[in-house]
Amino acid sequence: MICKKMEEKHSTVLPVFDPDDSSGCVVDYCKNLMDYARKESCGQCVFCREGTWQIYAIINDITEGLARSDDYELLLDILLQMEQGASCEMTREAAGRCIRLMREQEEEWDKHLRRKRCTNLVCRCSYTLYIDPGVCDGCGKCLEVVPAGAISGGEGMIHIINSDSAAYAGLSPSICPRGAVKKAGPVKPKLPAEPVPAGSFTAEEASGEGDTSRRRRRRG
Amino acid sequence: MEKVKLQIDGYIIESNENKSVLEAALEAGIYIPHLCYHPDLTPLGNCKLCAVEIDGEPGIVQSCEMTVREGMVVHTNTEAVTKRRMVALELMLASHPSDCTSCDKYLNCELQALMQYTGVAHSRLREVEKENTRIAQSDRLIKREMQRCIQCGRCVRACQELRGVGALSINNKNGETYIGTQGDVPLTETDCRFCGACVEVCPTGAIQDMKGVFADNVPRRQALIPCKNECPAHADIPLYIRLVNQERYSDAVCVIREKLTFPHSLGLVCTHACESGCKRRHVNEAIAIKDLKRFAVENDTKEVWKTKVTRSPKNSKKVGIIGGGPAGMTAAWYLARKGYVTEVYERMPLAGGMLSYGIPKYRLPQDGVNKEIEILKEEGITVHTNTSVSSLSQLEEKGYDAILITTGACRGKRPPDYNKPWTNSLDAVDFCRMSCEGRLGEPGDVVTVYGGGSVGFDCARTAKKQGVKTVRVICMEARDKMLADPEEISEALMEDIEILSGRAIVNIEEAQSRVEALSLVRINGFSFSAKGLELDVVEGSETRLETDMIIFATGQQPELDESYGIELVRGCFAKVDGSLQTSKAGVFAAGDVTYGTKSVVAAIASGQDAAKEIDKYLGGDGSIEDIYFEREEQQPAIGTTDSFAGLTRTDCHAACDAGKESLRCLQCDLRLDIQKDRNWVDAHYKTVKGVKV
Repeated sequence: MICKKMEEKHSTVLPVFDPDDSSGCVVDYCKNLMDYARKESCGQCVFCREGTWQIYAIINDITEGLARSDDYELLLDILLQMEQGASCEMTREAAGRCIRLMREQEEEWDKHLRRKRCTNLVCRCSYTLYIDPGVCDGCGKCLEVVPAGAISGGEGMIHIINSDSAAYAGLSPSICPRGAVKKAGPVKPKLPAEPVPAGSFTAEEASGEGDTSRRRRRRG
Repeated sequence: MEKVKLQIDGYIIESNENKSVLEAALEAGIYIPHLCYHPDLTPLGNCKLCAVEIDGEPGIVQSCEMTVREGMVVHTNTEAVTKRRMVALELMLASHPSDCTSCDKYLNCELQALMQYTGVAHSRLREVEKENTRIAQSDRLIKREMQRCIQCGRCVRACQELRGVGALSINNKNGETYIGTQGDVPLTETDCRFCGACVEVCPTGAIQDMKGVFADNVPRRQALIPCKNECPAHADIPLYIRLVNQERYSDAVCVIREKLTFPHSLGLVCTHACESGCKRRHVNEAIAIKDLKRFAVENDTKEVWKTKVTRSPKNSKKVGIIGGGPAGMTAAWYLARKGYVTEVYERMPLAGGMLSYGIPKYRLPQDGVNKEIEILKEEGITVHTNTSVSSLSQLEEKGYDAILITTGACRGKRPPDYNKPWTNSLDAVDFCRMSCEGRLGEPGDVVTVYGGGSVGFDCARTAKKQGVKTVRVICMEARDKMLADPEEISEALMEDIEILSGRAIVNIEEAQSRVEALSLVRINGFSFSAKGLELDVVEGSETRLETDMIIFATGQQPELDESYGIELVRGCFAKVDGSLQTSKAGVFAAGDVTYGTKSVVAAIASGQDAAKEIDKYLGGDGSIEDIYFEREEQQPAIGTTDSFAGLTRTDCHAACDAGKESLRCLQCDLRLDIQKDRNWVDAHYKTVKGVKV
């Protein structure tokens, strides 16, 4: 045992998971847990120094929809060695918590891994951002904070997020002070194709039952 | 120390009680993979590769951290252990580049060897790229490719534990840990002593020696001490510098005397190839090795070395040596020690060769040379001075069992067009000899020296000291390519000697067998082709200079001719085989007469080689090695010294600060004391030194 991070405090300062939090996600929590641990690592033992980085990288891929088919087993494989072999209590505890949460909430993990879905739309893989045409008043404040090309529209016009834009990944709901930027899960709302004057767009106008697009399941 | 018996993988092995399980296994020839463990460093248990299971211990433990116990039962290859190792290695590789073949440590890398041993490759894990690895910068001695670092921490421990320096640490920046200097400053701003211990222990290509610092054409252990390697006689320079630093001058001279027969003269005039090899040169300036040697010799009051010389019993075999210069006298001394009857023939009134008749007295006083010759003669060498030997046949009836020719290169060599008997021209070698003999007349008011090597400057400075008003040195090399020692050049400039570099003489005006004037051109460069010398002349740069005397310092060659009785090469050089034997059995040659002008120390080394070969030829073992200073175990710790990298060279001319200068030494030799970890393919691991249960 070499590491100074053996004190009990490190296992208590680790972020806490609240299973009832409707805005939380177990996968996202594990990612943040490992992010904390990897930055705290003293850099001596391989399971702490490299293990936390590797686990973080894999879970991060999962949250972004880049999971590989054997990632669940891979995570457990590495986490088990970390839990038993790491030189410090912090990493043993963090790895142990991940293992527990993977087993307890296997269904949620499976949803992320196989279907790229996140129940509470926390993880990036699970949602697309859109501007609710019913809320947007065309104030243009979002345009000031995002890179050019990410959002189209002018003053008084309903803005539209260009999901093909390179800057798309950097957007978040917080860019709109009115809360018009929303997350859409598998069911996509109907939106105007071009910016139209604010208040002129109604969902009924454009909707048709069959037009609601559903994401195709990748795997069964 | 108590021995304990333990069982590893079904073998009962024995080990000292204080050893770790890993050390015990490795010693017994049982290989357990390991990476952060190093035999000279405190075990850390951070790489997890030396994992084992021990009966009675819960789970997997690190064998480097477990001390052996009587009756212990260890398993090094269970499924769980293998799994632990594989994952640990996979994790290290995830942030390690996979371009093994482009790494300079390729095939010499412990990580690569472990990949081969375990079969783990860059595979199923995510590649992890770390940003902070780019912080470390290489300097002129140490190449740092920190993306190859696996943070085993060996370098940090070597720097701290072995050396007591602590220039390296595990740093943390932006949530990433990496090996760096304290504060990420360049090594020159840390306490680093540039000893190379970190390079030596690094298992990967993360910390390496900069290419070009060490010679790559000699065995590694030899190359790692560049001063000693560059010295033709391979004197143990780091050791005597250390002894000078400890003010143990007699011990230092013992070390010097093991290899050098004219140490005081060398301390004054050696061409110091050692200093051109000195590793410190890459930090700032080389150590003043030559001066430190002279200082040691001058301060050796006890001459302990004389009591340590070992001698073989006298025998009746006789060796005749022609030429009493450094090569001849050195060979004579070693042969006398080996018990041979040794006689030296010297045509001049004094022995010493170029030490007595070549190098000007202002650089090398005759008293010192005479004293050193007397010391050698104490070994029982007969020196026949004023005895010229112009042909081998002269010695035939004297019944020598072996003859050594060390007549040097004493004849000047001029450019072919200037081989004329002008009355006011001299070859440098003759000028120097006449000066040493004190029979140099009045050279005139203007003396021109053609040639910018050491000998050229010897002539120019001698002329100046004689009172010649205008002395100029003309040389074809550009100012920065001149062959003379920079120190000589700057002293010549201080003495008001004119240096015309990058110029060639294209014509000499003569009248009544005298040189009247020279035509000079500026040149951009020159080369030697089949047609002879070719000049790249600057057009319109021709100038005319009058001179009262011209000295050709354009080279020297031996005086041998066909009548001497041995086969020659290139007209006048003695032809010798690999054992320095000439075409005539029992006749050897060494020194300048075989290879042309080099240096005093090269002649000494050649004389030693000749002594070995002659001893072998006469039925001896050919060993002339002698130890005058019993090597002590070196302290690996060197500690810190304020602003070590910035310490500048102090030449030890007047009030010598030898302590200060010797402190600057990087102590390259300490690196050889660091053990090399055995690779798993080593023959040591082929058989287990234990009993199968």
